Amino acid sequence: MKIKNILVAIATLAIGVSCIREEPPSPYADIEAFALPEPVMLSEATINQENISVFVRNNVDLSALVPDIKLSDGATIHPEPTIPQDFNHPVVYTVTAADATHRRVYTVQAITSPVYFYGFEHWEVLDKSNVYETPVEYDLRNNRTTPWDSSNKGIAIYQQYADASLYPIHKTTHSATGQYAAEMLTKAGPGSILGIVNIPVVAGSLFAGVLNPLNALKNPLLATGFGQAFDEKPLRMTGKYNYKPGTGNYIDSKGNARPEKRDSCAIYAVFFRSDKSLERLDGTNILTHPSIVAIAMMPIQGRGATPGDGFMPFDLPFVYNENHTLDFEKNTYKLTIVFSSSFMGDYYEGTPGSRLLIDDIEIITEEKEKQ
Amino acid sequence: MNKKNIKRNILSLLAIFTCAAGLFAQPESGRQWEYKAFAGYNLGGSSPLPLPAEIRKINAWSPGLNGTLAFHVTRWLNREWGLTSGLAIDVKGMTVEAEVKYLNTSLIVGEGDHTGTFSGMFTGQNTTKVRNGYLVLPLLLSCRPSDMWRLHLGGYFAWQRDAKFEGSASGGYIRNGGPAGDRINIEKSTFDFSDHVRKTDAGLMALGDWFFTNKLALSGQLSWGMIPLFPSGFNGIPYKMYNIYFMGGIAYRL
Repeated sequence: MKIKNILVAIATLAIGVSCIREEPPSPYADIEAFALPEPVMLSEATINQENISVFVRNNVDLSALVPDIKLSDGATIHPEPTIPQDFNHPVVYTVTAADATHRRVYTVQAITSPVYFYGFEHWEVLDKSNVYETPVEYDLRNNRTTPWDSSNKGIAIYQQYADASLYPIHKTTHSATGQYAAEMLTKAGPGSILGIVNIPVVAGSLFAGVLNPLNALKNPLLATGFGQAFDEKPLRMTGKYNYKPGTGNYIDSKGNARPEKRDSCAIYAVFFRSDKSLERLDGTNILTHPSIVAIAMMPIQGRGATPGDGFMPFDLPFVYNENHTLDFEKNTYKLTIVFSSSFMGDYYEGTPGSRLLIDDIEIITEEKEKQ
Repeated sequence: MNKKNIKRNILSLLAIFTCAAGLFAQPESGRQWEYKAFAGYNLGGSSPLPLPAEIRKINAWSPGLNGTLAFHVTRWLNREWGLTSGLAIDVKGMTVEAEVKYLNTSLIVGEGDHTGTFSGMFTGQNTTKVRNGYLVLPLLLSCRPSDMWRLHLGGYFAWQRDAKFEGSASGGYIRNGGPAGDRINIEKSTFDFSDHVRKTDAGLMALGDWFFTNKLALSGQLSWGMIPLFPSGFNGIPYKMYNIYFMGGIAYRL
């Protein structure tokens, strides 16, 4: 009897352990898509981790809007999206995954006017699982906006520094005005990542847009999503900077030392027409896409070392492509601003040690100049 | 209790008594030492038990060409009972291709000062190739219920001499840092955990020999590792894996 029981037990165990178990409930608590009613939105929502920004048209009533929200399979949301919300203020949604354990708290911000001035005074941890900081800005109505993203997000995928100041992009008290400026550093990279990509050099790159690493392993240039809605005609970008190229060898994307090359910084802004087929520019077309309307570019002679430790002012005109006619009624336009401690940093090239400081960026528009 | 059960129980008891009685009897004057060499083919897996929920489907499993070469010495204490030990060179391996969902992983990437951790929750295809070489020392209680049969039960200690534990993750995505992290598509990436495989293993062993001639036997051996393949601080795989292998082979009595 006993032996039989033991045999049965062993057989049951053997069968039981080798079986595929029931599928675990999903731990995903994402807002996968977010939209306000069509007449209100100026351009599609930007979801940057748990921050959702929606550019809305001027002079529309935001006080009772019902958003369209797509959630992860099986997830639930509070408050119910069918309840009208007042989007004059940030609206918070809590999403709970199907597993009832994982939660994400999203803040939705409607943005009524573009940000013209970037002071780099406010830095926040936007990515809850890491310590690096990203500058946030406040618009004319004092609404918090999250226009910036940076290569920190990409680097944090494989490297978790203990302190925000160790990431390539961080705040510095060495500022032109106010308390802080943005500091970008080029560092030696990790080399091979999982046999997929080789990263000899990582540059500090800060840009207006959102970094989406979805296809970063296939082509890192696709990760940088450049552009934020902008419904005025930009004329000039002004600001202050200090640049010191690294003193060692320039390293190319294959990891080879190129002693004959000097590192240079990137400072430019690109204004482009956006539509369903082109929500954002990316690293492959940032300066070449046919939808680009105007570019304000730091000239080559300005991309090298600046004298001394002080900040050097710059004033870069937007040079318009004659083939485009601006029509803010019919089209949606976006603007991106790009800074990098190595001009070819998106190709993992540069000189480790190169350092770019940026402060007091202003976009001067036609409307503003009229005032 | 029905008649069939009674009969079976009596037979089982008789078998046990036959062996046990021998234990207390004087050692027979016949052959006290028995030497045996055997070679066999290993079938099994370095596997979690039970299969964790993260593993959704096993698409393919292949045992590969892995075997055991062993030399065993048995000291018979009497006609029925003895003790066996010896040494074996044992290669345990398999290739398994599975579909996984929400698998927590953490990989060390980069070189030198720039090493970092790539961690997150992976969903997609996983291929794992294992080929670990061990030097195995068995300690077994042996029983010879008849001239033809030798049964051994006990445990083993093993020292890993050469490990290969590598594979790829493909056709899926990872949520960076955990379920709330950004989604990153993984077309194909490779991993190599060979350096993390534990240097020792120990477990249970059961071995049976059926001598179909005076010298030759068919042998079957189950070795069931009780020590996880990776040390507890290792985060590449979220569950514990054990060496569970069956060997089928031929033994030769020297």
